[in-house]
Amino acid sequence: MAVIETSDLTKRYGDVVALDSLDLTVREGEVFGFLGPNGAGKSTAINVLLGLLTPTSGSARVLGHDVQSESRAVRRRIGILPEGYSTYDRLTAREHLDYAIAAKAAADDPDTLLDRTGLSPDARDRRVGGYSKGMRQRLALAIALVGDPDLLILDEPSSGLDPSGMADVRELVREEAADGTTVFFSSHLLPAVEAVCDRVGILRDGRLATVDTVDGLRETLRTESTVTLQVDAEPGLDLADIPGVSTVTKGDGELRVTCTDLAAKAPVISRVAAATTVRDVTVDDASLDDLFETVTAAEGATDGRPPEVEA
Amino acid sequence: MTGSVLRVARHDFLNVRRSRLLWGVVAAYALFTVLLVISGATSDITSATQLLVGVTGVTAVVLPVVGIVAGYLAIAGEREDGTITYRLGLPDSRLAVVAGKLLSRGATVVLGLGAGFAVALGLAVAMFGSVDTGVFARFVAISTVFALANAAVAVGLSALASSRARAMTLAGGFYVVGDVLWLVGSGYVVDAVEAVGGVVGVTVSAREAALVTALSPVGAYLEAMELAFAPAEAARAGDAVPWFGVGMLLVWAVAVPAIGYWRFRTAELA
Repeated sequence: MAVIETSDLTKRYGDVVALDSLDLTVREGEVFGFLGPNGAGKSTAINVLLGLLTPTSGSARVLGHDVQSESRAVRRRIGILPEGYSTYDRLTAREHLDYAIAAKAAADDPDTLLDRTGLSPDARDRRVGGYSKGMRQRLALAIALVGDPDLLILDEPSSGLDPSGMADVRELVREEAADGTTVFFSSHLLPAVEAVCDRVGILRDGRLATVDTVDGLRETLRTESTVTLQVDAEPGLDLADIPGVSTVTKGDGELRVTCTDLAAKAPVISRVAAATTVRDVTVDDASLDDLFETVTAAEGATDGRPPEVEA
Repeated sequence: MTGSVLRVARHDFLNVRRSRLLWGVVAAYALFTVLLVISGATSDITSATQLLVGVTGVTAVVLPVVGIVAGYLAIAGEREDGTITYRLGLPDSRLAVVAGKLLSRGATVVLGLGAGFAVALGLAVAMFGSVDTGVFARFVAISTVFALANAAVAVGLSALASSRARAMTLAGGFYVVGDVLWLVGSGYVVDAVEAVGGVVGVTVSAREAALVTALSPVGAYLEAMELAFAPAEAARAGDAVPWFGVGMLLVWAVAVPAIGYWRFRTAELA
C-alpha cells in the first residue's frame, strides 16, 4: 500500500513554480529520504501533505486519505516536524505533550516520549522559552511521536542539532522504522539520508529528478571511482583496454585512473603492480554528496552544492 | 468538535495567562477605574449612578482597547511565529481553532474587566456609601458585552491577517474608524443619510437617526446603555433603540469572526 501518493502535484506562486507535477509514491514501512538543495520545493511538498498549503493542481493522498478534504483523518495518524515549526515559549515541554496527547486521543506518557528523544528530565517542567535550539528540536520530535503514528513526516529533522543529536535522530528513525512506521524525511545534508534510507528521491527546481535506492543511484549514475597509485617508475602501460577505465593521467610519480565501473579497480591495480613497484594506492569512491551534485546539477545548473545552513 | 474547541481554549488561555498581556490589561483597567471614581467623587457628583452615567463616554473609548488588545494576535501571532504548525499539525479543525480562540480571549476580557469592575465597586461603595446594584450590574453586563464584541472582532480580523503587522493594521483601523471617528463624526453620517433621504423625499426620524448611529459598535454600546440607566420602557427617551444596540453588538461579534474563519479556512499557512 502506498502511504504517500502524489499525482501531478503542482504548486505555483504567481509565475514561480514551487512544485512541478510531482508524482511520488512512498511505500508502507520504508524510510524515504527526500533530498534536494534549499529552495527545491521539499518544504512546499511537505506542507501540502500536512494540509497547510493548498495545491494549485493535482492531488495527494496520505494513508489513503485526501490531504485536502480529509486532512483531519490524515493528521490523526501522522507525526510531523514541519519547516518553521515552533513551540510556545511560555509553556513547558510537558504541557505541549499533554495537549498533543489529548488532541490525538492517545495514551502516551510524556516522560517515555521525552526519554526517547533525549530531553533531560530537569528541563521538562521548565518553559520552552529558555530552551536551546537542540532542546526544542528534541521536544518537537517527542511531539511527533505522540499516538504512535503510522507515518512520520520530518522536514530537516537534524537542523539545529549537534553531531550527537543528529546521530540520535538517525537512531530514532531506525527504531521507528523497525517498529513498522513509515518515515518520510527531507534533508539537504546527505550523510543522514545515506545512512538510514531505503529509498531516496531527489527534488530539483520543484521536479523529481530521480527516485532510487542509494545503491541503485550509484548504479544508474555510473559514478566514477578514482584509483591513485604512487609508482617508482612510470610504466609504459596501456590500461585503457580494461573495461570500465575511462581516463588515465600520469605525472610526478603518480598514476590516476578513473573508472566508471567499480569492478575495474582491481585489474588496474594488479596490472600496474605487475609492471612496477607500487608504493601507495588510494581509492576514492563517489560519495552520495557527489551523486547529489551530479543529479541536481544536471541540465546546466551552475552550483549544485547545497549550502551548509538551512534557511 | 466541542471537546476540540474547549481543549484549544484551555491551552490558549494557559498561554495567555502567563503573558504580560492579561495582567497588563487588568492592571491598566483597574487603575483607570480608580482614576475615574476618584475624579468623579471630587466633582459635584453625589451618587454612584451619576458617576456611571458620566464615565460611559470614557468607557466607550477605553473598553474597545481592552477587547482589541486581548484578541488581535490570537491567530495572526501564531501564524507569524510558527506555533500554528504545532496547533494544526494536530487533528483539530481550523474552525475549532477560531472558536477556541474566541472562547479563551473572551474569558481573558471577562476576567480582566471583572477585576476592574470589582475595584470600582469597592471604591464607589466607600465614597458614596451605597450603589444601586441594579444599575451597576446592568452597566457591567452591557460594558462586558461591548468589550467582548470588540474582542471577537479582533479575533476575526486576526484570522483574516497573515502577519502580526497586518493584524495590527486591521485592528487599529477598526478602532479608529469604528470607535473614535464614529464617536466624533456619526452626526455627519446621520446628516448624509438625511441629505440622501431629502433627495428621494423621505424624512429621517430621530429614531431612524438613532438606528444609523447604532450601526457601529460604539454607537450600539451607547444606545444599549439606555437599558442600564432607564430600564423602564416609559422612562426611556422616545427615540432610543437600546435593544437594537445590543443586537448590533451581537452582529459584530458574530459577523467578523465568521468572515475571518471563512478566509482562514483556506488560508496558506506556510
